[in-house]
Amino acid sequence: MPFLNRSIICLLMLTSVAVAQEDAPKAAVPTEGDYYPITTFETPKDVVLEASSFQMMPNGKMAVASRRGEIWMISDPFAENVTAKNFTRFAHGLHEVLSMTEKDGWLYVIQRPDVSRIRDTDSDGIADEFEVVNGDWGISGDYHEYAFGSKFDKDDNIWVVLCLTGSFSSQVPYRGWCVRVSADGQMTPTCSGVRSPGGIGANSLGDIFFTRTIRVRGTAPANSST
Amino acid sequence: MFRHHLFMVTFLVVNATNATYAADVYDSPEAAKADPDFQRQGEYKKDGSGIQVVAQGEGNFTVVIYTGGLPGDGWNGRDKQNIEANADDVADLTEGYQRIERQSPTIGAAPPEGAVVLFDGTQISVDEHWEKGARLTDDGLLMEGITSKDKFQDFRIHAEFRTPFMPKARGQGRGNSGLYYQGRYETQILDSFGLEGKDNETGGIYEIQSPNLNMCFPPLTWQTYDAEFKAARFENGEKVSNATLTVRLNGVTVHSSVELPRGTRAAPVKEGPEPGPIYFQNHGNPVRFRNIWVQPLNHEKEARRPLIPGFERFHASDQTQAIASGQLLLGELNCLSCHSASDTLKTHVLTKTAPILTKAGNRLHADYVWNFIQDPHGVKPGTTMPSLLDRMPEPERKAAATAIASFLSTTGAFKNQSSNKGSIKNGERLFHEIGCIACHAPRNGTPTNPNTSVPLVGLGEKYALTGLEAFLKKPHDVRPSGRMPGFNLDDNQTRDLAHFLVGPIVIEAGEPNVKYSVFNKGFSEVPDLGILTPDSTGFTSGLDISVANRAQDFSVRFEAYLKVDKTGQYRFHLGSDDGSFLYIDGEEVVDADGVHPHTTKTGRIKLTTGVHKIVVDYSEVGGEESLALEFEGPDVSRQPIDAWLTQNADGSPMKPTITKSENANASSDTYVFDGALVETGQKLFGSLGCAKCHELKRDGTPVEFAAQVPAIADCSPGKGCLAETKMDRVPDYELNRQQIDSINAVLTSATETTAAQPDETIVHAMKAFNCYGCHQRGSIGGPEADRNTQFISRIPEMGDEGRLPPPLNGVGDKLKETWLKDVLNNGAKNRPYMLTQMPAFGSAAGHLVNAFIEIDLAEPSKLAALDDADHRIKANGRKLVGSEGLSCIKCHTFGKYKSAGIQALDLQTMTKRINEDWFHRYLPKPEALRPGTRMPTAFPNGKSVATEIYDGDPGQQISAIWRYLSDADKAKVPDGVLGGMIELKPNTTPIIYRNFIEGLTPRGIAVGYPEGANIAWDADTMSLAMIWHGRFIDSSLHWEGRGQGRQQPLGDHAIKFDQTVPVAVLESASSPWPTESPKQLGYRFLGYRLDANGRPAFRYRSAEFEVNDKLTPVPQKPDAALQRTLNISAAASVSSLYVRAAVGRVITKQDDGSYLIDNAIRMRTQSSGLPVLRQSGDKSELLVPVSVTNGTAEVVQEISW
Repeated sequence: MPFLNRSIICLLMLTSVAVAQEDAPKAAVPTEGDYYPITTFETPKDVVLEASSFQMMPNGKMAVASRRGEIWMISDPFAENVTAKNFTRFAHGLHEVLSMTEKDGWLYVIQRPDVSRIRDTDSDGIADEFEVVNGDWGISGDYHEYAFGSKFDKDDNIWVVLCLTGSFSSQVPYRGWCVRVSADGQMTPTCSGVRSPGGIGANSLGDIFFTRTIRVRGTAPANSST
Repeated sequence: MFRHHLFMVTFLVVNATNATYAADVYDSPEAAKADPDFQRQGEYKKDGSGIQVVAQGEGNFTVVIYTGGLPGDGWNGRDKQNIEANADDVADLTEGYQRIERQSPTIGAAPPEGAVVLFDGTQISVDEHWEKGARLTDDGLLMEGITSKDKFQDFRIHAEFRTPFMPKARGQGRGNSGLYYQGRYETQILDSFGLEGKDNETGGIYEIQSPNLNMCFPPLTWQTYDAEFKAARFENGEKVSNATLTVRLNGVTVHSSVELPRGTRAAPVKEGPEPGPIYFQNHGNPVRFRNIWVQPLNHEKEARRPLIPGFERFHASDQTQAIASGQLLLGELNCLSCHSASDTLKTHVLTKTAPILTKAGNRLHADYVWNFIQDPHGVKPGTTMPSLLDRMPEPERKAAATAIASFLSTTGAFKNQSSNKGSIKNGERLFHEIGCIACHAPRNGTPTNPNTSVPLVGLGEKYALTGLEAFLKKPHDVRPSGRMPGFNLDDNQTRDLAHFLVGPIVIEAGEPNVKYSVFNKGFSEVPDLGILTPDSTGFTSGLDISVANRAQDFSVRFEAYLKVDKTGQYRFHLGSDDGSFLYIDGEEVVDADGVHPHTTKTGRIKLTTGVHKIVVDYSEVGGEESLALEFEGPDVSRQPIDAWLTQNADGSPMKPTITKSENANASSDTYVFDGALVETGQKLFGSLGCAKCHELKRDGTPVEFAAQVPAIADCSPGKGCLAETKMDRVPDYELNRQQIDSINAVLTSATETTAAQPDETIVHAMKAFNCYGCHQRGSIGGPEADRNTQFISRIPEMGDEGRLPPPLNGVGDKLKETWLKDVLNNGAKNRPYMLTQMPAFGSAAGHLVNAFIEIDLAEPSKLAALDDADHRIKANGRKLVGSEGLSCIKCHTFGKYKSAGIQALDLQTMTKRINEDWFHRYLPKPEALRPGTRMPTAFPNGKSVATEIYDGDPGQQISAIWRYLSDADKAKVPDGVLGGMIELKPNTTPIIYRNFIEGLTPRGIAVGYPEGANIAWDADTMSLAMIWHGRFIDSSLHWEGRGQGRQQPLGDHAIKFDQTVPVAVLESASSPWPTESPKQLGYRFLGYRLDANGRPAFRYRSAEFEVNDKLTPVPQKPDAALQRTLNISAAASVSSLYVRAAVGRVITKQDDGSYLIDNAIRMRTQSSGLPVLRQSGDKSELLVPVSVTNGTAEVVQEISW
């Protein structure tokens, strides 16, 4: 797992020190900064923010989920300077949230045991209502049992990919499957054959794609092991 | 030491009323009493320490303090301190010590039969055996400066000597004399009490070698030299081998077979082939002698005697326990297999049976057997196997040996294998580390007493590698008497050790056994070579690619047959540079194709008993070239396949390959298998008596021996096996004088009328199994001085405790019966710092358990009782063990957690190993039960250093520690063990932690409250699963690394609850509580809501009701309680709704209306309905009826624990 998180952190530059200032001299080889601006956010002191998922909220804030079960809200995320003051902790105590999406004021979180939705009912900036949307899949306590989810599709479903427990057999219900969870809490098993997903999302046409992170081994002849 | 005879010592008459320090020299203890310093000097001891006080004249002393104990009795051989002192200082320094006078164990040793008694205290012995000038004192002691008339070659000598008290003298002027062997080589005699132990001090071989320990006793104490001398050998006036000397000083071996390259400088007799006298030097000091005898030996003959370490170490120089030593021999020589014995005598004899030979052909080289049975003591000096054939005329003897060897070779299939260098190297390390050297001679150049080393001779000629591996793996299958213990080695270690023991063996090319076809073309992808036309074909030995006669661009197909003896899974390891394939019976088994450096691939296949066709296709494109095929399977450890192959389609072997071992005995004769003699061999095996000792079953039927031999009771001393000249067919053990005397002693003693007592049984068994080679018990045993340094520790700073196997004093009191049994039977490896392992002795040593317990077990004492709840006792125990208490974990490992310091024994194993009673007696005073231990007491002056727990009461604290440690590997990790924690601290608001929590389903939700109470709620079972006090949780397990595993609470008093649904509809108040899971019952977890303080209320619903389960901590002393509020909403129509507030083994209602659950939890309930206490099976349940008013109901539980 950690390699996965770290790669996301690097990509999104939340905590890294990469810079690409506008007035930096143009390099002969183009860099990302030539195509889109990269802003480095200053994160709150002593907070380990292993960021796993991002969701823009209707109020203009950006929700950031971490592997350690926290969700932080970043106000004014498109400002030139985003400092620790822009961060507030919206929720904690969730179980390894890897994906989020939003609907009707609820923040939907896809975590190990379930899809839940959370909200702040008393407007103090901290979530106080945690509702399970659906957790009909199995979980046995293996550290591989993580879950990624898509944003809502046009039919109000979140597509969830569930990493397989172990590598060679499927003993725990729906591990290694992709399921769809509707906003009203119904789960529809959709396809099997998912082993070790690394994320799931849609293109502009609504086609769903998921990535895999697993070393591909050569096939060995029968009766042989390597 | 020099030969100048200085007769200028002033010898003053002692006058007790005169000066305090009357004389310079005292030659008897009686005289020395006149000097007050004499009573003060000497040896002192207490547990774990020894002191030698050396008088330096007129009230001056040197005090030498030894760590561990006196030299030869506990000293660690390293740490000592010298202090110059006056009489008052001596009194101070020796306070708490006891003054002792040690006596050499060989004092008064009786001469064996055939010994020349040079001096027995009589004038006659002086006149008869000593040259003119020998002087006797009035009280019948020999004085210094004497030469024996008798001259000796090889011999064993016993001599008792006493140095004078000369407090003012120093160095070589203090009590100097010397014992000269053959008048040529000197071991020094000097008052070197308290000195360093140099070559010119007592025990030293002058100018040649220092003793390995200074065993010199105080002046005017009788001391003993027991030495075995082998004279130098000469041929045609030229010395061809040096003399050797093994010396025991006061019973401790201080030199083992030391070579003497030259005579001592001042010796009266020059080196030469002639025998020489015994000479005690005169250095002008009144050294006294008594009880001197010399046993002439024929060293070559002596070297052939059976070597039994327990006998050699404890009885060879001392006939005072002749009967016990004879009984030891009756067992070790397996006498009772032929001679029947009374039931009483049998209890005194621990029989060692001979190896079982039923499958000997699998492991023994027939030509070794052939040589060995013709001359066992010549081939393997020290063997306990008697000779039966040696008195036959040569042709008859050879024919008999051929018949027996041929017969034995048909009991199995012998396969030759090469040994490999890497394994030999690893095996050498193992051999010297795990404890082999406690019984066998080290092979790293360390000189050790050869007599106490079980011989390991010519294993390369004797064993097949696989056979030796199988033996090392399970030695008791072949040698059930357990003298050779098993070391629980894994397959690799076993292989390495076997390879080391046989040494370098190279199988030379035997008769060609493989068909080859060479193709003068290399392929980067090897095709099926079978369809190509070879450029040349032929037969070769093994998979030998040199047949191609090319360095690159070629291919070879090898074809052969493999006969498999056992059906099962086989693994084939094919390594090549470049590509190769293995096909078996036409099926591809290994693909090592491609152009690459030497690469090994493994394939598996099930083979059935019978013959299989092996085909290897190999191709070399360029660069280096190599090909190797190894295989392994049932009864076959991984090894090269080459020698197993045959070109015979019926699988029959080619003619035996020839093996060459670098340490082979040159032999002009060779054994040739003779099938016609197999039946004769079997008959001889029976009729000669081999079958009497060696079990050998032919098709399940044992070969029998029918001849009649007398019962022990009818055996006469010196007859039969014990006679000088053996009759034909009588086994010849080649016993030496001492051994014969010992057995004679048993035969002449009155018939045993009492069975062996436990103390005798223990000593006997510890000699037979050579437990004493590692362990001390009582005053005897422990590694001999010359082997001592070979015992090593991974943690040198632990000293001897970390390196030497523990003394077995009181072991039957310390260890649990089950553990003793387990350790003796299966071995143990509980001391991670100690390289020597306790090996498995099997069931043969099982009788020791009861004997240890009977002798050692102390009367049980009354242990402190604790009346608080179990979780509180354990929490206290945990606190005591941890860094906030007695800090046991600073030195002891705790399961997988290492300590910060030395890695002392794992605390999680304590209660499995140790008797609780002993534990209670040990902890307050470790030093008392285990002298020399580094374990400190935590209870100085009867009070614990941790005063706040049980008011510092040692008994209660130890009880708590015991209860806590009884959870073994389930015991919660104590404080101070874990580093790198990410502790979640709910300082101001509750912290929720969702993750995998021990004892919950994977949908656990833990909540830590600032008030110091914590809960874990399970979203799968909809129930409160666990509560605890104190610290909340460490999230590092899940937040660092991959997050594998389940986390335990960090705090104490963890209580787990039954996780059946707490709210249910029952048909009636007597209906059983549902056992179905919430999912089966249709309950659904809805989530949780946080109140203004951040405390969650958990929500779930069923078809009939919805529940809000809220926990609120209630601060109170000493620990916070919890209030649990269940708000239930349901339609008014729902009836018979119950909350099961508690379930346990015992629930009792208290006077104040609360309920006590399992003596751990106190609970009070509030609801509209009255609680019902009911019994359900073996459980008690507290049910609260719920009556719904206006659609809602509330049940409140107050929980304190």
